Amino acid sequence: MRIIVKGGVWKNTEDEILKAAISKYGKNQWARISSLLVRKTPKQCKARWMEWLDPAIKKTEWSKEEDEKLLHLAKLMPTQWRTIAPIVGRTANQCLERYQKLLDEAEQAENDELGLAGVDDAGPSADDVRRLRPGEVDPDPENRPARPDPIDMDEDEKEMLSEARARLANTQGKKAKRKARERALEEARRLAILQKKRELKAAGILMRAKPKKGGMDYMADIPFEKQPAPGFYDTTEEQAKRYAAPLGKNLRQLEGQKRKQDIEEDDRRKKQKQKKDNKDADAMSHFIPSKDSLIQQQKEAQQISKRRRLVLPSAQVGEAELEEIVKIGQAGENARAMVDDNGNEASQGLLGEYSALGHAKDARTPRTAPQHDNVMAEARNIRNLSMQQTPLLGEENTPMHELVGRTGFEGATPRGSVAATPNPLATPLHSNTSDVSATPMSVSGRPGATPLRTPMRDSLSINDDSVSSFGETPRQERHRLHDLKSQLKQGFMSLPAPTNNFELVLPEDDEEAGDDEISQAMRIEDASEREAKLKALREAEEQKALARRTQVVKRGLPRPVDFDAAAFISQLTAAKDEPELVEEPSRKEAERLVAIEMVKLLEHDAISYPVAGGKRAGGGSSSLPFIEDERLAEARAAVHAEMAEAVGLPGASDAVLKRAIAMDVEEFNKIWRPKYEELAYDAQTKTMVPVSTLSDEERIAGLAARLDINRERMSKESAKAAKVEKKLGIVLGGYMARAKTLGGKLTEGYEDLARSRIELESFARLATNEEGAMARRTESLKDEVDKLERKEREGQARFRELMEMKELLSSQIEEMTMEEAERLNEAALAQMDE
Amino acid sequence: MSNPFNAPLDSLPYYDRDLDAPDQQHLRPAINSLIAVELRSLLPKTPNAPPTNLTHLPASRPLPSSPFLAAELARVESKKPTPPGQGLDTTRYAMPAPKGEAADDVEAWEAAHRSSLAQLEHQRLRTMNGTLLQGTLGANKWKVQNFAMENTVERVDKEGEELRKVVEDVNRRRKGDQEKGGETLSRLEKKWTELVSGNMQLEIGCMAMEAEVAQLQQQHAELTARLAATA
Repeated sequence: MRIIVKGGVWKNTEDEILKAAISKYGKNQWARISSLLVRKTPKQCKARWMEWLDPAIKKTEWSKEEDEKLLHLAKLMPTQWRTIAPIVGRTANQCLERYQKLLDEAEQAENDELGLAGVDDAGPSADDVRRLRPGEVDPDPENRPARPDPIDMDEDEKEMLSEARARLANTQGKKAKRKARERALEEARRLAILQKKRELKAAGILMRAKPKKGGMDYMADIPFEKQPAPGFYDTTEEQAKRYAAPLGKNLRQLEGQKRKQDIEEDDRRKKQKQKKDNKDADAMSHFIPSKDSLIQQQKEAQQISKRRRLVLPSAQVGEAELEEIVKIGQAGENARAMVDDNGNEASQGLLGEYSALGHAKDARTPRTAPQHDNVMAEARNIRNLSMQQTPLLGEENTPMHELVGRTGFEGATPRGSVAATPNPLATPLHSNTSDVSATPMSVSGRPGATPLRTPMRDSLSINDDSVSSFGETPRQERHRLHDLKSQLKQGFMSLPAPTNNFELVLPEDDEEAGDDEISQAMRIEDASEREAKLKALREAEEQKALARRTQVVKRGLPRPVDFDAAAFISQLTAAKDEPELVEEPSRKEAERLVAIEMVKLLEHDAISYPVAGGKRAGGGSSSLPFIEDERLAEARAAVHAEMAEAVGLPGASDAVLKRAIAMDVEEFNKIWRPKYEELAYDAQTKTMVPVSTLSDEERIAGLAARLDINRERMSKESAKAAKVEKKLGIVLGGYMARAKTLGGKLTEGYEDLARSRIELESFARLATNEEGAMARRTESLKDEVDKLERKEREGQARFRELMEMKELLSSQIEEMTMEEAERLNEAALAQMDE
Repeated sequence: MSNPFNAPLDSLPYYDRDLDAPDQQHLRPAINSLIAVELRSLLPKTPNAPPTNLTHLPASRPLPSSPFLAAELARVESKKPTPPGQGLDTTRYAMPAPKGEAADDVEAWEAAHRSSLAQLEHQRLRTMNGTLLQGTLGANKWKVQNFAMENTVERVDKEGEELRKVVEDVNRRRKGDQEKGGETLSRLEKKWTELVSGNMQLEIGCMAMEAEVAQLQQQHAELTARLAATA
């Protein structure tokens, strides 16, 4: 059997396991923890934690304060390391080691001083003294740093690691596991039963729980329920209300929506998580922080929170002083700038270089005064105390090093103060004070000034502190002040008169606007702007041109397709040869002029706005002279005025006038129709002429011609319509097909409905019929059965009767036979007697 | 009760299962043929012929009386062709020029011209309607129509479904009633057969007993006689 001696150097793996185990089991179950580590005892585990692994242990270098404290306490409580340790803030072992090291150093220093060490043979250094020799075993391996893991770990070590991992990953104990298993089994069983019930129900078998006999059904009844007495109000409505039990819902769902705050919180969290996921997606994929590292993080956070605030000595140059310096500097700069601008040499002289910092700007932090190495001195003292023989033997008293203001047996902690950083701003004038590092104070405060106030420093020496503020006598003092005042007054009097120059700062926008105006004139117009402008102009022109068209074109009234100006004029003039016109030559002339004007207009329209199907090609220019818009408007206004005058509504607006003149359709037709009827088409001249001028043949010819025209148009139109309809068939074909199928379905549905109705009717009738049939059949059958029963009863009665008769008869017969036999016997006896 | 449909029928199809018995299968075709024969006598010979056996239905309503309708019905009954000038005027679908003697009549020409104008107007309307339909109007109209149609189809289908359900309910009720009544019937029938056979046995027993009694009576009589003789 292999004997394992537990102990030895701590390895990194062991450390890690130990930390994880402690995070799981706590700091009391050391036996359990050590069961995870093959080579360590519970005691060793505890020591390792207490001495090394606990994150509260400081492993930094010893500071001077700590050293001082340590030595002082060691003097007060010799060898009581466990008591000293918490006061110093280190472990007992650390304290002991440090103490020994300090003593070693002191000894070495002494040896050096005394020249005990040889020239070559420097002797073992303080470190060397305590170092382990080859073959020696470290007495307390718990205090040493862990040995790093080798790349190729031992098998047993690996085994230990995996086992520890498995055990630590097990979050539940045996009992909890068993319970969970039982719960799962129970759940599975319940589900199975549910499923079975469901299947049975589907199959039509109802499995109701048997009602408890003699017990109470808690699902249906409420124990000790007492109905409240009927009250004042009608509560039937409330009682009729059914309340479903809120199964499978949590309180929040029951209450309704989440609170808005919660929703926002959720959203924010989700977003953050998403962002984080996106960022760390690949990093997270192969790195999941293990539990113990998380714990470590938490511990560190705790540690950080425990750390004390950083306490620094208060600033040597205070906030108020700094402000003052800045103020002085700024005021000086401003004043200088103003004076420089004016170019007034007289006032320039008044201002010195008023930099507040002065020479302190390029001052360097002076060195702190050399200090006594108290720690080493103390160490030496202690060493001396332990080395020296007892004075009882008559030797010299132990030589003690003189310590400057340092430790004694006065208190628990060593005396002493921290050396302050020397102030470079300190005025050299006050360097006569003993302490360099101290901020100079105007001890001799002037009257009126705050005592202990930092004096103002200025290179002009206005506030010169060196000048004794207190004169020999109060009278002299008064004189001095008076002098100063008069000097100042004179200085003020020599100042130039104020110029009252105000600097006005205007908003920047205005300046820009001013710029704009100037630049606009200078600027070259943008091409797009120009185009836009031109386009607007063009459009306006077009609008005007459109307005300039004749009313016929504007309103889209019919116009002659082929316009022959000469023929038209001749026609018009011929028509004007009416008797009343002939008498008035001036009116005739006027009519003629109007006709010519009209022809001109017609021609203009025919050229400018050619009619579709006409022979004239568009794009020509008419001979009509251009009439200005103003003149046109004037003419229109004149016409309007005259018309208004004629109607009797002078000054009426356009709309009113129109309403006054307008005629409704029927009235128009009444007038127009007879006039139109008087006209007929003449095929030869291709014009409409009065009917009276035509013979019947001519009229027939005209009508035939028009009929022909209509026929042609008809064929064209019908072809067009057919085309349109064909296209419609294509466009709407889908809909039509759908409608057709729907129609088919509808018919089917109706047929089905009708069939169903007939069926219903028939079956209903059949049902009544069958009811009757059933009743009848039962009735007749019952009758028959009754009859048969009666018959049976009768049969039975008869049978019984016969039976009785038979019995009676047979008994009689028996008697008779007996009698006969007796008689025979008697006869026989009688015979024998005879 | 006068017509065949109101005669009481003694049929309980869910109870009378005699036809389903395996030895009665040959009866079914015969029955079907009988039913077919009867149906043929009930239904009209041709779909258009008036039904003969529907006298139980109310008399048909007379058509609304109107001289035009009466005249037209009379014409159709006498199977005369439509007289010319009546019915559809086909000249409205063409533009014929007046012919024959009408060729010289101005009025006829005027009429022809007017007719042509009317036809042109109709054609214009046709084109206009077609153009309007070509846009979104036609599609929309069809959509609306189809939608309405779909709704109707759905409604009709639903109604049919409900009706079928009702029919099924009726049949189910019939079946239930018949089965319930059938139980009583079968019970009674069983009782009946038992009673019949019991009565038969009883009768036989009675007869046997009667014979026996007669024999005994005879014996009794003999004995009495003999006793009387000996006494």
